[in-house]
Amino acid sequence: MIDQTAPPIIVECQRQGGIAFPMRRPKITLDVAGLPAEERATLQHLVQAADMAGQPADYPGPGYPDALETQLTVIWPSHSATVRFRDGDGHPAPLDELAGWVLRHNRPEQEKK
Amino acid sequence: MCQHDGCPPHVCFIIPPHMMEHVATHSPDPTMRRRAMRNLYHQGRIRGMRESMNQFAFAGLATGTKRRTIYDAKHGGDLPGTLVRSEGQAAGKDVAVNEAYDYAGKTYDFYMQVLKRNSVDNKGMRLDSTVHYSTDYDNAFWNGQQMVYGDGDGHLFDRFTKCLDVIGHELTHGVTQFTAGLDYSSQSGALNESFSDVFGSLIKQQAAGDTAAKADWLIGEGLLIPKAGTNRTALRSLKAPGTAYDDPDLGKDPQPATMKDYYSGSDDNYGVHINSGIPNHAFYLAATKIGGKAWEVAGAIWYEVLTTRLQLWSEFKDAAAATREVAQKHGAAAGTAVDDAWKAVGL
Ligand SMILES: [Zn+2]
Repeated sequence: MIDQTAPPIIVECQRQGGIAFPMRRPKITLDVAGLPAEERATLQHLVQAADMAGQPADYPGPGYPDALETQLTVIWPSHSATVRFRDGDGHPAPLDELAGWVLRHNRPEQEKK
Repeated sequence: MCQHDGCPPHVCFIIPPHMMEHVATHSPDPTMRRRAMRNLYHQGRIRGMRESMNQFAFAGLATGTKRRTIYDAKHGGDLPGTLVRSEGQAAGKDVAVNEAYDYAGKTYDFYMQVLKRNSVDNKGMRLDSTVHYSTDYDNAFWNGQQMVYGDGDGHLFDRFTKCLDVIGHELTHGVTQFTAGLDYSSQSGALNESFSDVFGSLIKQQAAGDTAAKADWLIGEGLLIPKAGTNRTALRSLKAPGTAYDDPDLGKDPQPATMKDYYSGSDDNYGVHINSGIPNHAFYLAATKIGGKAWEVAGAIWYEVLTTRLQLWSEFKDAAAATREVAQKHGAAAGTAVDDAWKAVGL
């Protein structure tokens, strides 16, 4: 049984596709140890909500036109979990919330909303 | 798993399409309607039966009756979201809602007035749109039954309702779904994308009254937020594929204009938004050679091909052959223009 309550050490997110941005974008890697305590807590909360251990490796998507594809990986000290999902494939919202937080976090401070 | 003979693994259509259609159009439960629509979409795609989708009777509305509904996802991921505007209601203060409503209307009018098509399914299907989808969402997509628009991240992209051609592009995915059904991968997927760009551009040109010579032939001009010292002109250019943007954050527009630079990698569903540059450019060359208003002859040829000549697995050579043949109906000059256009892109 995977313990998802332990703090993750790395969270990775990569996107491709969509109407605007066809090429695979660079993978965003967040090293949790480098985050301030408040952000670490937020990230851990988002990771728990995403329930990575309960997700399939790949959501079987129908390939809707212009759908974005996201690949999320969470690495804990002793294991890791990866899930791939696309717009409109029925994946749970917490996966989008985790991916969105990681992508936003990578942005320069003055450009974050 | 399904044990029926003839059903592909993990996929079984035990409920007949007419029952599914009833659920999709009459169930009071939005989740049931969504699930039924999705199943119908799968059936149409996997069986390659365009008829099963074409028979989809949404409502017995008079031809030319426009029905638009706009929903607000309130930055979440649930579709369709909260209904905020229906057909005939006055504009409100939300710019994205107003744009989604107005541009869906212009797209409907183009298909009705120019191509005599009654909405995406040619049976008056209601045009549903959801705005404010997710957070910092840099995308718009067609989910088999409705359009979905993000607000952009405010850093690279503005709101995705901003451009008429982008909305025309998304709705044309619906037209393709109900006609050729082009599979969304490799060359058939690039054709699917190209038809969306071609008609997205034509919808914009017709709304502006532009001739082929005057049109900008850009898709999503103004969607990218300008930045000094970089090229953030648009998402794509039919006139000059590969030149729409060049920016440290976005990279360079990867579209080829000819088969010589065909992308053979696996990104983007094997290059659906990349290799679409090739048929896009062929259309541009044909339309500008024919001259006048691009939707009148070149657009009519491409529309006839999309709706009567292509199918699930059609490739570039099929589209080239079919448009060459249909162009003959429009006179020798049109035939030569289309032939020359495909030759110029290497087909
Ligand atoms: Zn598209």
